[in-house]
Amino acid sequence: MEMKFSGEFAVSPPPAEVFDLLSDPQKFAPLLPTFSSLEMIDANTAQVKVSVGIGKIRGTATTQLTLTKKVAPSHAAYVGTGKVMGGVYSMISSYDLEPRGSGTLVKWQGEVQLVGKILSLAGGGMRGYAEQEINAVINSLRQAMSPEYQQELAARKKAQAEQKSGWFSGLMRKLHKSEGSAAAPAVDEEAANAAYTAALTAGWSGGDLTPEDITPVLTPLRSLARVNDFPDIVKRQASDKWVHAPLSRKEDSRLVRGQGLFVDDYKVDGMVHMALVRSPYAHARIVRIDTSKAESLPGVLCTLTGSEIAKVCNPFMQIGPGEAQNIRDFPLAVEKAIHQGEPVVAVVAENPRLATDAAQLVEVEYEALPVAVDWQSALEDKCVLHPGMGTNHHWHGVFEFGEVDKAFAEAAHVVKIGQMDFHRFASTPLETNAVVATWQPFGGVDFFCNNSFPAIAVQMIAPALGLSIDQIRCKTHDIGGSFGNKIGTYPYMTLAAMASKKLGGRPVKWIETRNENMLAGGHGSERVYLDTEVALDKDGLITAVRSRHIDDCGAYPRYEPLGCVIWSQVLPAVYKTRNFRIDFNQVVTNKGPAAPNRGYSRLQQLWFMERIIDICAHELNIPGDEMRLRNYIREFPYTTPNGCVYDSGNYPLMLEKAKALIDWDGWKKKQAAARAEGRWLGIGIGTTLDSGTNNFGQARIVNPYLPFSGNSEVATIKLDLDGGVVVMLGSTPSGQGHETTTAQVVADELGIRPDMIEVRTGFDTTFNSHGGHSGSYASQFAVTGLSAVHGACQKLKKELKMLAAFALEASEDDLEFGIGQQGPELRVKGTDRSINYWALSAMVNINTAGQPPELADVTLNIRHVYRPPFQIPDVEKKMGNLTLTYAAQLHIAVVEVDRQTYVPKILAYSAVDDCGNVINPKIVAGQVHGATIHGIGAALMESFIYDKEGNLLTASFTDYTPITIMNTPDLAFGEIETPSPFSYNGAKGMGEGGGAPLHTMSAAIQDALFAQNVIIRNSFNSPGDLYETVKRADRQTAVKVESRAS
Amino acid sequence: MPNAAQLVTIEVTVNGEKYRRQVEPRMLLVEFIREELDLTGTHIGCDTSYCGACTVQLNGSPVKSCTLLAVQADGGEILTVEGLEKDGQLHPLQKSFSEHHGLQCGYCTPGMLMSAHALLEQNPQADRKAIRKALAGNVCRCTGYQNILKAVEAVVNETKGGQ
Amino acid sequence: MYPAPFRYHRPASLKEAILMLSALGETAKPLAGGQTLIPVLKLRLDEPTDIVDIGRLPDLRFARKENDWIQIGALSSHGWIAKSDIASAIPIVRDCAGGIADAQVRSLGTIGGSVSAAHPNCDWPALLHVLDAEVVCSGPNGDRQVPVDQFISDAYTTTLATDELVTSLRFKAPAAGSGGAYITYKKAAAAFPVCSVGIQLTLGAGNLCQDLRIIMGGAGPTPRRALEAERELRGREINPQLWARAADAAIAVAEPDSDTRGDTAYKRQLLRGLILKVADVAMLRCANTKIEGSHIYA
Repeated sequence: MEMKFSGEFAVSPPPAEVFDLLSDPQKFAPLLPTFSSLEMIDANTAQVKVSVGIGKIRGTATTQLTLTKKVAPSHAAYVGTGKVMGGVYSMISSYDLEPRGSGTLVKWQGEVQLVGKILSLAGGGMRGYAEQEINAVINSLRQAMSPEYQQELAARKKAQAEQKSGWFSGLMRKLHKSEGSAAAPAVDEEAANAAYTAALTAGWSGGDLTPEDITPVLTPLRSLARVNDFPDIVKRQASDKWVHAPLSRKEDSRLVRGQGLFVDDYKVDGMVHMALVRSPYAHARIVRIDTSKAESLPGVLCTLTGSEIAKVCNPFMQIGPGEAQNIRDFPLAVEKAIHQGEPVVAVVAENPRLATDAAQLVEVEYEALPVAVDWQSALEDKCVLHPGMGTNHHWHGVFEFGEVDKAFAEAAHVVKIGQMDFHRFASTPLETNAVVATWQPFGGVDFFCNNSFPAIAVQMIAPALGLSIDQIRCKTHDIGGSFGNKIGTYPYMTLAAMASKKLGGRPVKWIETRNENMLAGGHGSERVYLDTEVALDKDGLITAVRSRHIDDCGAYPRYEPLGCVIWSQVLPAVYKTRNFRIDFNQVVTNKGPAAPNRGYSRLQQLWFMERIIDICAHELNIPGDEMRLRNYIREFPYTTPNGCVYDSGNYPLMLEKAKALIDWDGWKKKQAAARAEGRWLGIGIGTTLDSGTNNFGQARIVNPYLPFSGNSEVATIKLDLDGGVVVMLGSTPSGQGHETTTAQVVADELGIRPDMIEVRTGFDTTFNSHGGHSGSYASQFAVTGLSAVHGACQKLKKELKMLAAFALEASEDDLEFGIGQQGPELRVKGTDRSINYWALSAMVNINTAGQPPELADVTLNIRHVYRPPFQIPDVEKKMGNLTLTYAAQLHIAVVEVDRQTYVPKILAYSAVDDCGNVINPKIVAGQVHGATIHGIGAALMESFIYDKEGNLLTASFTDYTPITIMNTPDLAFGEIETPSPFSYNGAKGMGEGGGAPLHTMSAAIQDALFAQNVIIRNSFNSPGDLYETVKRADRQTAVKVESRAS
Repeated sequence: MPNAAQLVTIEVTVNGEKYRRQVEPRMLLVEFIREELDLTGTHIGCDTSYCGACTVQLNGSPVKSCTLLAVQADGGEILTVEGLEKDGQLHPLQKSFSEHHGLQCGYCTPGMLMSAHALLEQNPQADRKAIRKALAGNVCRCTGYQNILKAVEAVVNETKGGQ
Repeated sequence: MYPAPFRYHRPASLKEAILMLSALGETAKPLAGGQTLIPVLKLRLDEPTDIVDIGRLPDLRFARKENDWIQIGALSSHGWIAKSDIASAIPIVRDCAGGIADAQVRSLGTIGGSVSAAHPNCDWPALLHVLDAEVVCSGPNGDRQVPVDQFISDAYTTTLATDELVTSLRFKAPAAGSGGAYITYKKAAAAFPVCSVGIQLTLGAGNLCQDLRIIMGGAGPTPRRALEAERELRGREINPQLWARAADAAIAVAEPDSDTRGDTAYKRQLLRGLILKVADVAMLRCANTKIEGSHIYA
C-alpha cells in the first residue's frame, strides 16, 4: 500500500534552530512520543526504535533512517526502511522551512510504502490508522519544538508523579495490612515501597505441583482403540444389496468421537516443530539473512535458508514446455521471493511456540522489486518473475475446432461481450497443510502427511531429494478436507524432510497456520475472457464461440500448466455448439501459487459458457429456460468438437425436475409481482458438468514431451491369516467415505455384509496399493477406485472358488458365496457343505500340505490395477477423449438484490444431480450439498483480493469470510440417474460439482438486474461490487448485438 | 524482556477428570487440551476465532479454546468431544450426525458437536433459527451445513417426542 | 499461532488490579474476556510484557436498574447481557448483545473489554452511544464517569489511563413509548461488522417524534452521531419521506473507510439502507410490537 502525506505547521523557534533539530536524528528522535532507542550507524544514518501501533495495540518499529539531502537552513530529506508488526515499510520524507514572524513555518511531506500481512487485517482498511500514526508523530514534533508546551508538560509530569507516589505507597501499605501481612512497619518507606512493588509485579504462579499431579496419565493408544459402530449401523440399515443403500459411514465411528488421526494429532517421541519466515514482499531480492539471534534462542535446533537448500536439493520438476523448464522452484526462496508469503527461512525448535518466537528473530533484508500482480502487467514482461523463462507468459495454445469463421459469416446474430473475469478463490479446507517428516537411518524419508495426490508428490519429491521413490514412505490417515488444494503440499514435505535430515532424523512436524494457508496454500487460478464473440442462428442456437482466455496461476506453476488443457474436457459445456476458437494463455504473477481447486479449470470454462448462454438469452429476449432447452446436447454418447465423449445425460429432464423442486411457475408469478413493486428479484439457471477420471494423455497437449497418459487406480484385497477380508486403496479420501463405499461394493461381490470387511484408512506406499495416478482428485473414485476394488474382488473370488472347489470336492460352478454359521463362506449350492474364510485362508497360509499343483499360484493377496480404456490424444489438433465420465448438475436460484443495501439474498435454491448409478445416496447428497454451498460462498463472499503492490488483503478467515450457516439457504435436492456406459457399475465420478452455484448466482443476479442495464461479467458479486455494477450500468458498452436481417 | 520461564499451576476438570498442571501463561486452552492432556479431538482451524473447530464447553458455555489462555480456565469445568460418550453410549447428537451424514472429513465435527451440545443444554426445544444462530461460529467446508441442521433438528424432535 | 511470552498476574481485587497496572506501566495489558486481546496477541500485533487477568475480579458482572439509571458491570459477557432482564426490557440492548460475533465469543467477551478496545466497527461503542451512556472508569483516584463518545477518542483509542479500568457502563432507561433497534451488516457472525446503525426513537401521538438518536457504526474512526438527520425528524410527524431525507442527511456525515468489503460510496449507501431498516423496526417497537432483531449477513 502506498500512502502520501503532507502538511504544515508553525512553531516559535527561528528556522536555524528548527533546522538544527530536524536535520539531526540524534536530536529529534528522542522527542518522538514513543521513542525507545537510537543508534548512529554512520554520520548520516541512524537506527531508531519507536513504538507504533493503533491505539493500545502497540509494537516496536525499527527504522533505518538516512539523511539524503541537507540544505541549511531550509530543506532536508530522509529515506528510511523499517519493520513493524506484521509488515515492512519504506518511506521518503522531506521538509522545507520558511521564516514566519520570528518563528518558522514547517512544510513537510512524506511517502510511505507498507507491505506485509498487516494489510490483510481489518479488510485492508489500514490507511486511516497509518494516517493516525503519522499525525501523532507530526504533533509530537510540533509540540517538542514549542518551548511553552515543554514547560507545561514538565510541570504536569511533576505534579502527576507527586500525586501518584503518595497515593501509591499509601494504598500499598493499606493493601498489605488488610491482607494481614506480617511486614514490619516501614522504617524506610522507599525500601518498603520497592518491596511492595516487587511483590505486586512478581506474577501469579498458582502454587506447586505435587508428585501425583506430575504422574502422566496414560491415555489409551489410539491405534489400539479401534472404535467401530459399523456393525450396528449395518444391522440397523439391513439390505439385500449394499450398493445403492443409504448406508451411514464406517468412518463416522472415530470422527464423531474426536478419535480421528489428523496430522497434527500424530505425535512421536523426539518430535520437533518447524516454523517458517515468509516474505512480506510480493517481489523482492533477498539481500541478507541473519539467523544468529534465532539460533541462539534456547530450544532452537536449527535453521534452513534457501541458499543452503539450493546446494543439496534439486529444483522441482516443471510440467510446462520449453523455457518453462528453466523455472527454478525450491522449497525456500533462493535469491528472491516472488510472492507475498513465499517461505524464506525455516526454523526448527523443541516446541511450536519456540519455533514461532525464533522465526520472529530471523532478520531478513529485502530489496523490493517491481511487481506484476495482474495479467496485463505480467504480459508486459517489464518485471519477469522467472529469469530462466525470460517471460511471464507461461503457456499459449490455440484450440480451434469446426469452421468458426464460416459459422460467424452465416450467423443470424453475433453477440460481442466485453471482458469477463473469473475471480481467485480457494476451498480453504478446515485442516491446513501439514506433515511430519522423519529422515530414515538408511537414507530414505517417512512422511505422515495430508497430501491428497501422494503418487504425484513422491514423484516430485524423490528427484528433488535425490532419492529413489522406494526410499520414500508416504502415509496419510484422516484428512480434514482437500478439494484439490492439498495436491500442492510437496514443497513443504520436501522442506520438512531436509530439516529432519539436518537434525539427524528427528521427526519434524510442520503445521501450516491459516494465514500461511491463505497466502500460499494453493489458490484456484483466476481467468479473464477477452474479445468474446458468439454466433447464433435465428432460433438462438449458439453455433460458434471465439475468445481469448488468460489464466493467472500465481508465482509458481507447480501443477500448471495442466489447467491450460483440463478446461477443454468441457469445451462446449452442455451445449451443441460445434465451432470454437479459444486462444488460451497462462501467465505467472506475483501472487500465491495456484493449486487445483474443486472443479479445477473446468468450472472456469463452464462459467464462461454459462455466462454466454445467459447473456445471449437476455439480449435476444429468449426466456432463460427456453434458451437452454434449445441448446442442450440431447443425444448420448456425444462426441464434442474436440473429441471428448459425454457418456450419458438428460439435461432437459434435470431442468424439469429442478423447476418442480423450486416451484418455478410460482416464483415466476412472484417475480412479476415483485418487479411491479420495483424490487430486484431474479431467477437463474446454471447447468454444469463434473467430468471425472482424467486421461493424463491430455498433459501432452500442454507439453508433448511428458511421458504420461491414461489413468490408473489400484486396490489390494487379501484374506488375512484369520480369514478377515482386508482392502487397501490408493485413494486419499478427505470425507468422501471411501471406506464405506468400498465395503458396500465388496459386500455385494462376496455376498457378505459391509461390516465384515476391513477397509484400511488412508494411503500408504507400504500397502503397495497405488499406481502413478493414485490419489483423490478429479471426481473419480466411484469409477477408478471402485473399478479397481471390483476387479480385485473378481480375482479373489476366482482364487476362493479354486480353493473351495478342492476342499469341498465340488465343481466351481456349483459354489456360491454367502454368510454361514461361521461367518463368510463358500458353499455348495443346495447343500450344507461349506468352507469359511478362515479355513480357506489356512489353505494358503497355515495349513498348506497336501494340495494339488493347480493351487500353487493362489495367493489370496490380490492387487488389481484398473486402467480406463483411453487413447493418447492428438497433440497437434488438441483432440481426444480427455475424460471418462460426465456427471451433471442443474441448479436454479431465486435471488433478490436488496435495493437499499445491495445485499443479494437467496430466496430459494434447487439442485439436481446426475452421477449415473449412485453407490451411496447419502454420500452423493452430501457431496452435492457441500459443492453447492462452497460455490455460493465463492460467488458471494470469498475472494483473494490483492492490492497493487501484491499484498493479499483477505489473508485470514475473518477477512476472507468462508461461508457460514448464517449465509446458507435451505437446498431442495433432487437427482436423476443416467447410467454411464463406460464404467462397470454405471457410476460417474462426482463431488467437485462443476461450480454450478457460480453459474447460477451470476445468472440469477443477471436476471434481477438486467433491467438496470447491468451485464454480470464477474464471478464474484459482493454487495459492494453489485453497487458498483449497478452504478456503472454499462450494458450498452459491455455487450454488442449484431443481427442480420433474415 | 518478559520472563519466558514463568510457569503457572492450574487445575481444571476435563470430562469429569481433574488435572493439575504447570503451564506457560501464554499457553492457549486448545494447546493445553491437545498437547498436555493429549485429547486431540478438539481441532485448530483458523487461528483467528472464526471457524469454531476448537469449540469446547467451559462451565457449560461454548467457548473457542484457541481464543482463551489455559490459565483463564483455571478452576473451570471443561467438556470436550471426548466427554460426550457416556458408558460406551454415544451421545444422541453423535449418533444423529452419523445417521444424517452431518459430517464428511470430520475436522469441524467436534466443534460442531460441542456448539450443538451447549445449545441443547440451554434450549432443548431449539428451532431451526436458534440452531443456525448457535452454529454461526462454526465453519464446515464439506457438508454445506444442510445435514448438520437436520442432525441437530432430529435430536430436538427426538427429545420432544420423548416428552 | 502463539502469543509471545508474557508474565501473568491475577489480582484478587479491583484495587490490586489498579495497583498492578500502575506499577507495571504501559507495557502491561488488562485481560478480561480476551476475545479482542488474545487474537491480537496470537497475531503478535502486540507483545505486552505483562498480562493482568481482571476476568476473575468479583462484583463486576451485573445489570441493574437504580432510579432511572441502568448500570451494567464491565465483566458482563455479551451472552449474559443478552439474557438479562435489562435486555428483555430494552430491545435495542438485546439486538446488540445477542448479535455480537457468535455464541462462543458471546460466552467470554465482555462489554467493558469491548468498549475499551474501541474497534471502530464494533457494536457496543455504537450502541452505547445511541443510549447516551457513560463509561465508569476506576483508577487510583477513584471513579470518574465519561460520556462514551468522549471516552472513545479515536479508532482503537480511549481516554482510559494506563492505570484505569472500565468498571461499568450506565445510561438512562429509555422513556416509556420509546422504541429502539440496532442492526449490523456483516459477512458472517464471526466477521467484523462492516457498518451498523442504532436508533432510539420516542414517538408521541400521531407519530410525532419527541426525541431520537441515530448512531452509525463503521462510519468513521468512532461511532458517528447523525445530528442533522435527527434535526430533520425531531418535533415532526414522521413519515417515510422524512426518514429518507434523514437518511440522506445522516450519510452526508458518514466517512466509512474503503476496504475489501466495499468503498466509501457503497458503505454510505449501505448505511442509508440500514437506517431505513432500523427505522422500520424502531417504529414498530414504539408501537409496542414485539419484533425479533436480526443482523444482516452476507
